[in-house]
Amino acid sequence: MSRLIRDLYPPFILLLLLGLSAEVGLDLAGVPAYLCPRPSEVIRTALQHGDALSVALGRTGMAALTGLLGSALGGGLLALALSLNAWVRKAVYPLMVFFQTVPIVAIAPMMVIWVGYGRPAVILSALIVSLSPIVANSLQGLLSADPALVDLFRMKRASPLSILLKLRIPSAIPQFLTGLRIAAGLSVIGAIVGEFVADTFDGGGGVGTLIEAAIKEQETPLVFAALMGSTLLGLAFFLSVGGLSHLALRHLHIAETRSSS
Amino acid sequence: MPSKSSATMPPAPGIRMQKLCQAFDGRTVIDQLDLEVQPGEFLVLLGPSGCGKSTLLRLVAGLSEPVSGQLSLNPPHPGIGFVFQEASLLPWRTALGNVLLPFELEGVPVAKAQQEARELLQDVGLEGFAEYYPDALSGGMRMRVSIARALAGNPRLLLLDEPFAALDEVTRTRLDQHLGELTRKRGTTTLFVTHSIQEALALADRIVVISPTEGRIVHDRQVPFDWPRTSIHRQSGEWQALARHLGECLEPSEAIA
Repeated sequence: MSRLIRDLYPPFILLLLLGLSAEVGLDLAGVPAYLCPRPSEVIRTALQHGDALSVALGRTGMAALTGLLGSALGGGLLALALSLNAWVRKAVYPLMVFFQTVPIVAIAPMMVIWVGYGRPAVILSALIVSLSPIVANSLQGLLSADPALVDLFRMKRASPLSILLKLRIPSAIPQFLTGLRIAAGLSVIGAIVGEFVADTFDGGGGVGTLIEAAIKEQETPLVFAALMGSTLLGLAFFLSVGGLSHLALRHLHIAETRSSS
Repeated sequence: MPSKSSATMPPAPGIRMQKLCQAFDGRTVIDQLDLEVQPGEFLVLLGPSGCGKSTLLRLVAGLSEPVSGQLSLNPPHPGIGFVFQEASLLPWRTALGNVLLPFELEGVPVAKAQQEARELLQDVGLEGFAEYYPDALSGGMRMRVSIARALAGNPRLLLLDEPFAALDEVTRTRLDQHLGELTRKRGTTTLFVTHSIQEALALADRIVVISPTEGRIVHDRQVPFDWPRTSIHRQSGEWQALARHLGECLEPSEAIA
């Protein structure tokens, strides 16, 4: 815990300094408040609209979490299917990478056509953006089981199913968790983008819906307060999945792998 | 210490290789190899890294098929134990869990497997460490677990691919000694790959030196020392002379260069 505090306080101090200099600097430069609100005003607005903000963040968080769980399950199963057959892998994988480069903002309007306005489109958006890191990392994990152990299983004439269950799937857990950690941050982004495009306040919107509405009303302090909230939400997602994966790996006695992406 | 009498076990297999060839992507790794291994013999394959020794073990284990030539085990299909360069344990299983793995894969009843696995851990000197996970064991201890795993189900043929290369000198010497005892007590046919002359002399009934260029046998001799080998053996002139001679066999001679 003391290490956490030691790691957290330098960025905290920097943030505080940046906030203070923005507070003073914006005034000195004569930037009008409707273009860029002062940090103090953003915080005041955040507290003032605290209830609405937390409800919106909760809804966005739920959508992102649902999408993330969907992509963890779907992505894990897809990686499993791809790991079983080299031909299918060679056929599917490049296409998957190709589709991954299509920006979510461009697909989001299509989702309105497919599943209509509202939460399902938001969840789908979160799911789509968080899918590929899970598939890519899990697949790599499934394929990189210790070759010596694969030989051992083969020498004992183990069935492919038993190799999968006793060797490949457990070996892939660290990489799966790495993928999940990357996907966690992305799922929040996906949900907010989904809300920009496909959500209204009719069914009670999320933080993306709130930002969209605040921009139309030119309420810049509220926009910034919502941005601050979504950043904290993304951070909370990333840290919780990181913590969960740390616990899981310690339980399994597997050394933690560091993600490079 | 539970000792296994070799009378109750199936016989150790002999191995015969005739004009055995193996190549990968057109590169010859083993070239026209003729080698006969006696049942119960401890044969050390000595050679520099990358001379095809590991390939030879994989062929014997049936993990790959030769390009040409014959390889036969007599009696065929013996139980085979394989010890790899790394301990290659499953990190999410305890020492006991790792030794249980081959029993599970072969469908041995749990109670019997448990008992035998515990005996095997005892045989390799790890009776107090059954519930330890690999991340809490030293490199030498992990390798002991790996040996216990390879001995599961009483294999009559034991194949070891530079198993102690990554360990420190003291641990390696101790494990060599222990392995030599285990294999002789069990009467297994053993193929042991190494690039260490001292290790070869410490373990082998017979040493076969393989050339570095194209897997060919350049030297084949019996080791004239009794088992167990002690420091008296190691300090003898005969040992030193043999070590020197094996060293010369390993060096590419002027004639080849």
